[in-house]
Amino acid sequence: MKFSDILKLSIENLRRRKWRTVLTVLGVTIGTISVVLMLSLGFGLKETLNAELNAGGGINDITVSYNGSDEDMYLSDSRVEEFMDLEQITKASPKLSVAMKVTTGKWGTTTWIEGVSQEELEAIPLGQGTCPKEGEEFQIIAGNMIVLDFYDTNTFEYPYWDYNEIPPVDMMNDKIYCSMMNVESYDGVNPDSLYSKRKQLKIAGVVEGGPETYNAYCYSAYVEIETLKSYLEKEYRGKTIPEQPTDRNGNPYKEWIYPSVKLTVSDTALVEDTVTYFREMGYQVSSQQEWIEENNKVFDIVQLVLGGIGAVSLLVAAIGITNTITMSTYERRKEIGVMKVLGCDIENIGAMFVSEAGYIGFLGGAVGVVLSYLLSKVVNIVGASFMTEAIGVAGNLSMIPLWLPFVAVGFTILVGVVAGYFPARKATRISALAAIRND
Amino acid sequence: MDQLKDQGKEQSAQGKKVLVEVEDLYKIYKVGDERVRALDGVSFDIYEGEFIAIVGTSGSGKSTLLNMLAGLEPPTKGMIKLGSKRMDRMKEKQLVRMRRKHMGFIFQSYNLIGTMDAKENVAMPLMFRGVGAKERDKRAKEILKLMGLGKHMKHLPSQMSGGQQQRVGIARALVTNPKIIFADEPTGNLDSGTTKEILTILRDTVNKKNNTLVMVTHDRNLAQVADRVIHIKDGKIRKIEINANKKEIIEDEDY
Repeated sequence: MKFSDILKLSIENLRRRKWRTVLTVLGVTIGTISVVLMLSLGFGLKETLNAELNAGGGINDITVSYNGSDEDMYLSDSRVEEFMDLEQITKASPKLSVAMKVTTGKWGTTTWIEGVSQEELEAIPLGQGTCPKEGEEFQIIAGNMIVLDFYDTNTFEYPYWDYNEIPPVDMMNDKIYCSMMNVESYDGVNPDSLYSKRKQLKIAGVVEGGPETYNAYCYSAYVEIETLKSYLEKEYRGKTIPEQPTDRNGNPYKEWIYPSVKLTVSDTALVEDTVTYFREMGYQVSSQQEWIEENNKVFDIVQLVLGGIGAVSLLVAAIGITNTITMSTYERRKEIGVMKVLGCDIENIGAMFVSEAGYIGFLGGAVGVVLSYLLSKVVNIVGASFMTEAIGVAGNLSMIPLWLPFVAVGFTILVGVVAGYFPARKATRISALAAIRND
Repeated sequence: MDQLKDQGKEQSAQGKKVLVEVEDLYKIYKVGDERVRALDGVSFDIYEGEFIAIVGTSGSGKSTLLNMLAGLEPPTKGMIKLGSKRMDRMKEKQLVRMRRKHMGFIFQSYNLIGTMDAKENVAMPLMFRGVGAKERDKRAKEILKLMGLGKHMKHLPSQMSGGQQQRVGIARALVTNPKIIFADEPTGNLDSGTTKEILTILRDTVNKKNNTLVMVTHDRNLAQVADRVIHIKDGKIRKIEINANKKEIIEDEDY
């Protein structure tokens, strides 16, 4: 018997019982939608967050840091130069960060000020102001979310964290003061004594985005590293600069010691090896690549769980198919008997029912995929506010990759075939004598 | 018993070629603790181009015999040979293949597929043989015209009379031009006029196409259309009647 004839007979038989076919197909459709939509949520979240991470750039960057107390390990300028001698390192930019108290009117907060290279500084997207040029006086670029952290210095209440109100601070236009932490002047009682005398702080610009828009630069303040160094040297003349280690006698080192250095690797493929290399030296190393991979691992699990939940309804649909095919074999006992008497191969009889089941799977899968696309659109429209509010990233909550519809339909066909296999096998065992008996 | 066996065999001497050889066939059913002998040692031959009728009352074992000849039921003991092949030793898969290649089947209740029209029903055995749709169509049309159903090709079984349906059934059995055709009470559901019509068709087919036909019936009068009539009772052959000259039906006192 030709395969095309088997398919034709199956379709004919499905048509014969339209209503039952439609209901069984509906079950598969619902199953398909739930699996595809659940998976699409995983893909959407992964895609959006990865895009966000990549937007920060630096897929070839690794950050090497050291916060131990082994003198030989310190990330000094000379050490950084040694790193530069490595073949695969094309760039090294040390980082320096210092805590700073920022005040304006009755509002105050403590923020980290990061010393970065001029190049990096210029790469920060600004919403207001301009990037300071090299060699200019000490001025900072403020993260767009710093504003949220201001508290009332009289009541110690945080308007944002306590009352969900954004503090009325305008970093660009208000008069802002800063004071540096100074452990040596601390009298042990008054927390104010922990800080040096306040000075006016010039804000050159504010990072792009509103006070509630997350990005890679939103929480800290940035300044060119050499400018920061000379500012700190002036501020702490003759004293130990905070965060800088001291030798056995409590004296600071001659060189600057950086908590971390950002290294750029020449080739993405070399990133992993380079990370391992520094790790074996005893440094703490983090890389964007590893981060993305870690993230993806988490989302893979999330996706697996979501997909599993969706798969339950597909399983129910599969049972529905088995039921339908079983009913069909009972109804057609006589017909199967006649076919056997007329010489229809046993395998062909089985194939007829299996392809009926497969066809139900195919129809359900195809309709399910189409509806999934529509529902995915709906989810993205409804979920847009969820993405920005709960996750802090604008993007699609649900995403259906190009290959998914094909795999989904292929899978539902497979589900149908498997679900139809056992009743089909039972059908092949129906005796040819069923044709003779007159009932 | 032996006499009858010889009677069944001796005719091979007449120069006809044996198509089916049945020897010492038993079929024993277990009903509760009782053993029912549906066939109790049956032996006979069927010759090529012969119209043979198996006659008996209900429960005589005639249907069981037909089922076994067609390979629908395995015998408990004994031998059935079609050509040179031992059907009693075949598995179901092989039996299906035998039926597909060499046999045609006509049912009492026609057993047409209700969703298929006359032409599709007739073409079905060809489909099982893997014949292409075009060729199937052509051959089904030809044979339906021969059966006088040229105007009913597109009709569903429910749109045809019993006689018409049975003619479709006969067409379906003949379309593959099988060596042997089995007819199980082919006129059982038909009125006397239509019965005559159907029997004429069967008789003509054997005469013209030289097919072998085995018909099971409970009606001894109808059986007289055959070349030979095997009378069966309680699972045993009681008499084999030869109608070489199509002589009148003779009543037998035996039963």
